[in-house]
Amino acid sequence: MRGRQKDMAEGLSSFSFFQGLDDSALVEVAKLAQRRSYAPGEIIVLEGEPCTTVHFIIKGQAKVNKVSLEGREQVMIRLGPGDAFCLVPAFDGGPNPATVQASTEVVLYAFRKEDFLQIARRHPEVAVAVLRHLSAKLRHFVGLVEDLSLRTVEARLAKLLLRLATEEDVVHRRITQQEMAAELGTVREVVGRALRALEDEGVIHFDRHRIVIVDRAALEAKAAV
Amino acid sequence: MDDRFCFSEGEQVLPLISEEICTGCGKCVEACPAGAMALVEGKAAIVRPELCSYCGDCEELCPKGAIARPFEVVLQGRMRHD
Repeated sequence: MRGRQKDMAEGLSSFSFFQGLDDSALVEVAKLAQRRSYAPGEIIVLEGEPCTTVHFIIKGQAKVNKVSLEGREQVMIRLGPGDAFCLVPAFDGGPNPATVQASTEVVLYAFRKEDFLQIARRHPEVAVAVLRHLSAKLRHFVGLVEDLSLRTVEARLAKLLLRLATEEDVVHRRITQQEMAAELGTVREVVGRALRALEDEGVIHFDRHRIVIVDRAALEAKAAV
Repeated sequence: MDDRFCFSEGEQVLPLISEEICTGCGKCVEACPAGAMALVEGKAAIVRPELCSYCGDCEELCPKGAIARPFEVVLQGRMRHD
C-alpha cells in the first residue's frame, strides 16, 4: 500500500463515519479522498451553488452561516474535527443550503459527491453513521429554532456567555459583539445594550478585553427564561 | 494577525480594525478619549496602543462597523491562559 494512501486510510479510520470499515474497505475509500487545506476566512463552500463534494474536517474550525441581502449574518452552526458538511445537498440533490467558511486554518478530506454516495450504498455502516450525524445536527437546529423564536435576546445572550465561559472541549476564542450578534440572530447594537444591562445589574463585569461572569447563578436564571 | 484562537499570557489585546471596511473618515480618531488613534495612509490605526483603555467609543461611533473589540468570556476567578 502506498505510504500516502496508508496515511489517508489511517486518518479516515479516526472518523466515526468510517469506523465500521475493515482495512481493505478503508484502503478503497482512501483512494477516493483528497486532502485539502483552507486559510482562515477562506470560503470552502458557497450557499446556492451546486454540491459537488462532501467534506470531513480533520483539523480546525469552520462556521456555517447565511447572510441576508442587507448583509446581516446568522451563524447556523460551528464545525470542528470529526464533523462533516455538504451531506444534506449530497443526499437531497439540492444546492448548498448555506456557506461554510474557515474560522481557523482548516484541513479536511474531500470526496466527490457521487463517490461518497456510492460508499454509503456499498457500506451500510457508513449510511447509519451519516444518519447518526445528521440526527445530532437536527437536534442542534431544533434547539436553535427554539432559541431564536421562543427566547428573548437577553436569554440567548446569557446562554451564549455561559457556554463560552464553561465549555472545555471547544477551541477557546475571543468573540466580538458583532460575532455574538451573528450567533444570536440580532445586531451588534442590541448585544451592546444587553451586555451593558447585565453589567448594570452586577451579573457581569467588563475587565478590559474580558467579560467576567460575576453572578453565574443569576446568569443561569436569565438563560433559562 | 488576528489570532483569537490562541491566547498568550501578557499579550495586549486591542480593537480590530478592518482595513477593507474602513473609509478613513476619522470619526474614531476624534472620538478616542485617550488619543490612541490616528489615520495612517488614509486608514484608522491604533498608533499609541499603550493608551488604549478598550472603552469601545471607536467601535460605537464607526459608521461602517469597521472596528470590533474581541472579548474573552470567563467565570470570575478563572482566566483562560492560567
